[in-house]
Amino acid sequence: MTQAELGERVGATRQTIIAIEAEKYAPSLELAFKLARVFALPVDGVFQFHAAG
Amino acid sequence: MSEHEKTAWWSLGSGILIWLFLGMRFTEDWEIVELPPGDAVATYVQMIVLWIVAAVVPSELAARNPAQLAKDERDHAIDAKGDRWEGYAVVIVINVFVVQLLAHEFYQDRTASLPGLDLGSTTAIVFALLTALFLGDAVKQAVILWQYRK
Repeated sequence: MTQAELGERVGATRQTIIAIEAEKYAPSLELAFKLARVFALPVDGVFQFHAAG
Repeated sequence: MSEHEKTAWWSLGSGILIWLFLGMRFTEDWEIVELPPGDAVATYVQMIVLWIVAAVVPSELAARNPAQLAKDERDHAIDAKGDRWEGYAVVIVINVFVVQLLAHEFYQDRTASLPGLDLGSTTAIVFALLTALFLGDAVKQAVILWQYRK
């Protein structure tokens, strides 16, 4: 699946998918759930939380 | 480069050019000159027309490919950050003008020693307020471009 296709499936642009992959943008909870659903994984199977500091 | 970045570059560039146009009309060698009221109004109307044209051109060009115009949550978040910084910039510049005016009023006998922003004429006040708006928009577009590129 390309970044553009993934973006289309979750209602985001390719640039946003690239920014999420590069950890330059933290998606909203809604977008995180949509991405996880595409991969048929729980949210914490796709995203990890790193506490600042 | 996304359509949104291109639009921000266009807005930044056109805003600077329109502000330079205002500067050419309202100043001579960057010293504010008192314009006759008719000329000041004509310049203001011309600025509005230029601003509308500058706003319409990118949206007309982008309308040829509407899919690229769609904004997602990241675009909206970046726009909101730009709006916030625009607000900060306008507030700061307006307060500089206010402090300048109050200082000149308060230190009437020593105004020659104050740093110069002569807001003593209608032309000067109009130019200063429009400069605040243009500066705010320039800050907004710069923040948007920085957010897309960081």
